[in-house]
Amino acid sequence: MRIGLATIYHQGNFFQSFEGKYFKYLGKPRNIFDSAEYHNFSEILVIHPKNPPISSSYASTKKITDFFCAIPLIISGDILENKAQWFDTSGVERYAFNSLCFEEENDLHDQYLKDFGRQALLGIIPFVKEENHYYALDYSRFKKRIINQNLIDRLFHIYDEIIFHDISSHGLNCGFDFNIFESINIPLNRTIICGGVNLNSIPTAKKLNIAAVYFENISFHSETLIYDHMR
Amino acid sequence: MINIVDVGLGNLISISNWIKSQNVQARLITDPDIYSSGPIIIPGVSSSHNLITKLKERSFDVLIDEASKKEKIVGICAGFQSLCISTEEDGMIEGLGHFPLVTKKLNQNGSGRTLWDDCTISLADLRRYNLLNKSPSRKKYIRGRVFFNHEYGVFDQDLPDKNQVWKVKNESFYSFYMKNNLIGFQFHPEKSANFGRELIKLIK
Repeated sequence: MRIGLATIYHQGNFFQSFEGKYFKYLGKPRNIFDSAEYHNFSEILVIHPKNPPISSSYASTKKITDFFCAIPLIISGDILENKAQWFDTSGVERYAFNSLCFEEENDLHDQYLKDFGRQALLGIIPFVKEENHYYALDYSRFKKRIINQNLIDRLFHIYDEIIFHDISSHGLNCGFDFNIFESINIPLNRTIICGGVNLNSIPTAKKLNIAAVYFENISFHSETLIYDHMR
Repeated sequence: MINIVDVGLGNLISISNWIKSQNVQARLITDPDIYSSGPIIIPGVSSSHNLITKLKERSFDVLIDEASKKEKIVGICAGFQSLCISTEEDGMIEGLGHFPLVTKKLNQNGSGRTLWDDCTISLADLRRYNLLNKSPSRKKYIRGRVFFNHEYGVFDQDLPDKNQVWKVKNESFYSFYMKNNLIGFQFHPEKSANFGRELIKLIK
């Protein structure tokens, strides 16, 4: 099982997010990349928020590629609008799509497959639980969509792997909500979990044969106290 | 100076950053006419079908054919697959034919192979195939963890060649492959931490 790092990127800096509402500065790309390699992380997921409370321009994201990162980089957020530029820079290895996940027919899927290869394409489903139902967040349309078997089957047909991002737990070090996998049939060997992942999540993830888990920085530094003050 | 083939595909900047991080000069070449001398890298992170098509369209196949007589040629992932006889990705297409190997899908159920795995490369092998630079090294091997991310793999076309022992453990596809002046990696050395750093210093 791969163990990765999930971080938020904004205007040349990396941040720790708490529930996607509060942010704490983590460092510059050089520090983050060196630190991730030092701690033997398998890969880094760079979440590049498109919408408020923070958002970044393509130009700022492109700066990431000025730095040598000795482990794989996955970029998520604001990819579609800047496809041409991604070809120009091409400093990342894999692309995680959110908005495109929710478009049933879109020629871009075929184009991306042709240009990057399927192994480079991931879907990312940020999810929340409300009244015993799990909902996927479609960020660009500000919509919540119920997670059902049709959606899951379609996404696993298109993408190499799917990241399930537990938004409610993000940054809280409280454990990933594995119950989401009970109501739907998911190929777990192609599933990545992110959001709230802590050391206790690892045995469960291994038992389920999950492909990869992504930690947020908070898991290593017990920063929940800071978060409590921020509230 | 290491030349990185730029046909608008692949993680070009990652590869350029990897080479430069070891104080080796690198440049992207968009046209075979720009090339003068030095090793050539064909990058990965693309469909091998699309990559082969673009290499041929821009006459890089001719350049690689000619340059491989005296310079090192390095193919990474889809770049490795492009140096083989054929690929079945996105419909069958003939490759550049330098390696007597074929590219096939790993699993018909659609899952790719993304993981870190152990790898050992013998410096004697690199030397035998003219891939080692002239700097003295007391090491016999480079060993470490390497990053794989692929849906297709490179297999023997016919019977396995007993001299080529560079397959992934318990699998029938190659982790890397060497032939005079040419080397192909299925894994991504540019994303394989210290293993990649050592490797580029040895073959620069």
